[in-house]
Amino acid sequence: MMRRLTRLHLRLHTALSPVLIAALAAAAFAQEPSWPRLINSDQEPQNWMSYGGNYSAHRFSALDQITRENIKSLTPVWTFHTGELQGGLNATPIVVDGVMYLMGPMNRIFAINAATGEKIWSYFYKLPKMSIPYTPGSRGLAVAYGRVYFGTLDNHVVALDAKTGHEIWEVEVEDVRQCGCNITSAPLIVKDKVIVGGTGGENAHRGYLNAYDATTGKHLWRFYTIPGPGEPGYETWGEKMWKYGGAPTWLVGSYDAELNLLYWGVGNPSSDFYDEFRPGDNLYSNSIIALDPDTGKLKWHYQEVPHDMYDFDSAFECVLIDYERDGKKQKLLVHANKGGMTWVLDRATGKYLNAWPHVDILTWLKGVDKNGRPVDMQPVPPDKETFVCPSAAGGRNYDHSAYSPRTRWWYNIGWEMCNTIKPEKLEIKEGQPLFGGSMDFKLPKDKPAYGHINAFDPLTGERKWRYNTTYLNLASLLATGGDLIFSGDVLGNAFALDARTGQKLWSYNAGAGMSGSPITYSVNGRQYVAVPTGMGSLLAGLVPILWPESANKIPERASTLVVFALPETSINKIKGGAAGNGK
Amino acid sequence: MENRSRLATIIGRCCAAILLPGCLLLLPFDFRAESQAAQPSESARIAAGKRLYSGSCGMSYCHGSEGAGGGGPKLRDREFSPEYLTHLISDGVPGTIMPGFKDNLSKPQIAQLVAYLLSLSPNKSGAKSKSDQPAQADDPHFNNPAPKTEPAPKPANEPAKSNVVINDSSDLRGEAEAGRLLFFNSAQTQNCRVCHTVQGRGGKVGPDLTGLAGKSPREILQSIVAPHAAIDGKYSTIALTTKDGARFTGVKRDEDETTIRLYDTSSLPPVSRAFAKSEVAKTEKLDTSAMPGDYGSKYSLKQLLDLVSFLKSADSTRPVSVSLRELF
Repeated sequence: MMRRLTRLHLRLHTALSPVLIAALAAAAFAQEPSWPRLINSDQEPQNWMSYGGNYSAHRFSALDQITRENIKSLTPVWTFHTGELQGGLNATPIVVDGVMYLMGPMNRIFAINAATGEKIWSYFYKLPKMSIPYTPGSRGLAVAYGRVYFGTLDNHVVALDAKTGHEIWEVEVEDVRQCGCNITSAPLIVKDKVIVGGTGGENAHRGYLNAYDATTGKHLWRFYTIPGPGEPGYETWGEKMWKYGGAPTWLVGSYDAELNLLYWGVGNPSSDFYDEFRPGDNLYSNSIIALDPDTGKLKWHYQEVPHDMYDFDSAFECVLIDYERDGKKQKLLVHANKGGMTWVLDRATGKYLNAWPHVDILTWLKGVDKNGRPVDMQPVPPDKETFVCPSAAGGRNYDHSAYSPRTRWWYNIGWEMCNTIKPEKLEIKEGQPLFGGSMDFKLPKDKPAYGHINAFDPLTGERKWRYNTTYLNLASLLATGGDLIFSGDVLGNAFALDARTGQKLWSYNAGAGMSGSPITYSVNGRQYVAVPTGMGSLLAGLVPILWPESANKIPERASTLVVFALPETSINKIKGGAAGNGK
Repeated sequence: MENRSRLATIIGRCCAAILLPGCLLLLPFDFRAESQAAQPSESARIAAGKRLYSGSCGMSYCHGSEGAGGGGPKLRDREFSPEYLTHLISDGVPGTIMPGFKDNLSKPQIAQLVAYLLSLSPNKSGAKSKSDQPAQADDPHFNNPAPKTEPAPKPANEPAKSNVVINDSSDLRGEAEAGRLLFFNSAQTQNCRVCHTVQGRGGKVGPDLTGLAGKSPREILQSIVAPHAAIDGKYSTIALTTKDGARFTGVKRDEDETTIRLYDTSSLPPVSRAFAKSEVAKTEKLDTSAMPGDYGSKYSLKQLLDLVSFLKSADSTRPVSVSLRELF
């Protein structure tokens, strides 16, 4: 049933004949994974078919072959080198029916036998000779309809044949040299569309989200995250900055099929620290936007940090949780803001439900009012240094959270560090960097910088446990049906915590610091855990600044996927001999 | 509306190809000329460089306060030559996130930055010449050998300072800067640059329009509003039919032994499509332009004059203002 192709309501395009559309659609949509499979991916724990693991950004797999009891036997079974060190390996690998699709740095794409690590094909996108905005790394790709979709560092969207790696179509989003923006994260497939966000929060650029026809590559809609003249919200910018105010969509959204709502987090306004030309709330910067994915029209929005002066993006994942307590069911959207606060919304309406801090040290606000708006926000006057916690790097960053439907807890990382911000006036030039000042990372007052991983009740923020990390944890979390939380640290240790207690149960020195997203999958009844190694994040360079003693401990650069599994002998002993509910 | 009805007449006249030479008087004025006033002292240059540095280079994401390092490499206590730093700051490092600043900073400003950076390494920097630079292979910003410095491309965003004097009874004139904004209009997913290049920037679906500056305003207008009248053979429209009967039209991008790529122009922005040659039944050359033929009605007369003015200015740093009279 799940694999059966259902009728997809493909849009007919006036510029292409219906016959052609039908031919293209038949060819593309006859292949896997289909939309019904993608949207029901929780029913296929052997696969990891989208960036967030499912369309709710849970980063959870029901696979339970690896348990708290047997994890000490976990051992590396294969590794894969991308061959490019610039940018490390930040990606979330995708696995569909035994094939892994991996995005390396500099837009290198690989198809790999997920059981053996054997390369099936590779495709190296030809980047022009240019400086690359933001990062030479990439956070991943999407796979659907027999195709691999990805965005490029020079701001194109590309579709490849998933079987051969051959290019099918390619379209430019905007000239990278004009906008200073590009694509560093995975697209999200929603029905017949490829939804793609982009960077640009630190450049003079007007942010947007784009949708392309998955079959033809035709541009379908664009939602500008800064309203133009005559649109609601334009008045929150003043007259100058609506064209250049940033508000990027640099990470990946979520989708609720029942509500037909696409959720996307929007980044900071630019200039980051200098606000003379953007006097209002600056919608929809630092907001969650809910769009109709069929049209790109806004359904609701919720702004977490109005008139941001701290570079506190709302770009991170929107975690969709069906929450039940005391017989009351609520459809939550749980969202960690870069400023160290977590906002909880009703995802049907955008109504504010709760907000609570997921870090210990915050100076930028005193609290939130009954509508969730921050109160007594810390002023950042021009031409002088202001000490702000957390830092512009965030109370965490793209080290994504995980949610386990087994424990019903939300697992989230926290960073305790600060910075000084000194706003300075800067000439505005389209596409050029527009920080509007300088920023220096600092230790918190009277204590060292530190990090932690936590389990929270997703609505109330009640903390269930905390695992302290010495340095920033730059890698995402992965929750599994074996009640384990996987991640990796900057010193090169892949590790697993007990999802119920936070106790560290396993660690393996993989030889390179980690800032990617681990996943799990199974092939032929054997569960694997894949951990990207090799730090590509700018933030990796900051660790020695805050922890000088770490300078000699941080391993050399790498860009390698390391894959673990239990020994085959012990798998055979496991009753049933199968991983993931018989899959 | 009035402009557009008048436009129909103009288009007709353009298509009649009665061409008269333009009457442009270019007055020499180098608005980028640097003052040759007294050279600032070294300490003043270093102080100025420090101010420039703190605004962007000194972010913790980049090279950190006083070159201490951050997301990018440490810059203090390093061995750099002035030439090497000048090259890096000017041109950036392709393949890394280090941008070039030559379009944003003047040469004296870059020299100020270099002076400041050298001052961070008082015992090391400046002692070595370009030829004995360390390999610095451990540093991602320095992995590429310094390429030859090429002349800076003419920036597309020069400030508009018209220096054109034309006697014209009509007060309707084009503005090159407005034309530039229209050509590169990032608020539209469909703009000229998705297909065309000017001054080294833009798409390669259609011809590079920098060369249009040598044409008359009338010819330029004709190429915009009546693209089918004269087609550059290199950008002929082709129709490609696959063996399963699907037909695509557009401009051939390239081909190799096994694959042919086509810019499908049936919608904009164009989509590059790749076809295995073994799946192609036939390709045929069409005698129409892939360029939409409706810009005469899409744009107002003022906008068309702006575009013509911009394209007429494309090989010069001096903006040209084309009048309505010049289109007749």
